Amino acid sequence: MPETEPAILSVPAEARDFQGERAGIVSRVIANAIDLAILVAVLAGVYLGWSAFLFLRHGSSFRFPTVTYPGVYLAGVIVLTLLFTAAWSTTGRSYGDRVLGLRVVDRHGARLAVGLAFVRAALCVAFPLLLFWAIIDRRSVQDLILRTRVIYDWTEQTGSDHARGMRVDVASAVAHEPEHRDAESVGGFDGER
Amino acid sequence: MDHVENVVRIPIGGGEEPEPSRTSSPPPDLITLAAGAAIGLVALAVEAAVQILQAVSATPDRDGVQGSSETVAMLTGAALGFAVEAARTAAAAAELGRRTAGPPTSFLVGNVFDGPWRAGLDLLSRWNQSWREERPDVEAAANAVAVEAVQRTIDLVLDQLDLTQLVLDHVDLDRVISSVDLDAVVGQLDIDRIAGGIDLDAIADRLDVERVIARLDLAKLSLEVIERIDLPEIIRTSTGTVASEGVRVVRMQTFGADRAISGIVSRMLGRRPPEAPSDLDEPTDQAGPDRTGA
Repeated sequence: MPETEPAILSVPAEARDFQGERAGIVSRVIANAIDLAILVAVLAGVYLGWSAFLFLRHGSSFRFPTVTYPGVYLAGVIVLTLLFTAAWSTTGRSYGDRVLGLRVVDRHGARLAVGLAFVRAALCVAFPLLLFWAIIDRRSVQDLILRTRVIYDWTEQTGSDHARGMRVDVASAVAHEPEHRDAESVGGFDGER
Repeated sequence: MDHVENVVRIPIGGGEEPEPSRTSSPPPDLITLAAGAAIGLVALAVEAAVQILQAVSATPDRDGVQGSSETVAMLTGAALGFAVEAARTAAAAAELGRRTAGPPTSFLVGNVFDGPWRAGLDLLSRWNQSWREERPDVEAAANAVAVEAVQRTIDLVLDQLDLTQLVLDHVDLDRVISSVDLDAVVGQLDIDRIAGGIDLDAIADRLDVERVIARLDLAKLSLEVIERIDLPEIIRTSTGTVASEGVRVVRMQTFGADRAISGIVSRMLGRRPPEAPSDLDEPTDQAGPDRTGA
């Protein structure tokens, strides 16, 4: 699979060897922490936006909306699920994944379909602690159930052309794994082609 | 002593005395000398001939030959002695004749033949003059003819010779070359001028560049070049569009932490220590059914 070479060339030499490997627990926890921080920021933004809307609506009688724990939890769950779904089904990576150089792929090594991304997002949000099975297996329980994987992938492809572009336009060199490293993902591309 | 004696005696005894003494032992005149020389030469030639004949006959030790050769030598000596005596007598007679006929002859020459003699001298002088005038032209012509003749002769000779073979056979070329200071020769060359005389454009026109390019695997070459100069690194550092240096460090550190934890867990669970092989093995186990399923 020599057409993957140009893509791997965009990765620093010292990191090329492990591109496509399953990511470890530290990377994934940090990535999730970043995503959580972003969730907090988003929730704060939503709260402020909602408050501004209420202020414009009520004028002098405006008061900041009350924040309840279940309300915040519910909002967080919904927003995080939507964020993950959007990220994994488009670029294959949330912002935390992007910072840590990770990508979520399906059993064929391709970008997740929207449905699969949503299910995985819901499971991750509902049972976050299941992630720590990755300490033992480098796969979370969600990954075991859905046959997804989180891999090291420092290459820079936008999600829309990531999976499709790999198969259609090899010259644009958007492969994300070294040709010898991950037999499963390589086989997956061939199988889908 | 003799010189001093002469100087003393000339004033005392008068002018007559020394003259007879000089003529009484006259120096051998030209004729006598020539005759003596001729006889000497003949004698030498005869002697040499006799010796050669003796050597060629190759039997010098036999008595008969020895006797005959002595006879020949004696006869030859006698003949030569006779010749010498004859020459001497002839010279004396000639001298006598010259003294007798001298005055009338000189009178005749001085008076009767004076006109023709002078005319002859004039003629010779004119010829001599004309020779001197013509001499440069004649010499030049002769030179030209000689040079041409020599040239043709040399050409003719050289045509018959294989000079290259001669040199190869008889000249130690290694020694000749080793005696030449090639550095000095090279130092005298004006390389720039030689290079300036080469029409590189014409050479380039004759090259089939297309064919050369066609033989190159440009794609592979480009990849190798990119690999060597680490072009991605240059792009990263110049644009900063991808991971910044800080992000790279964070990623590498987390990767190291992942690996460390995996190692610890593997040891605790008694699995093979390095996690990389297991990571490779597991996907291939899974990939089989997956692929067939897809």
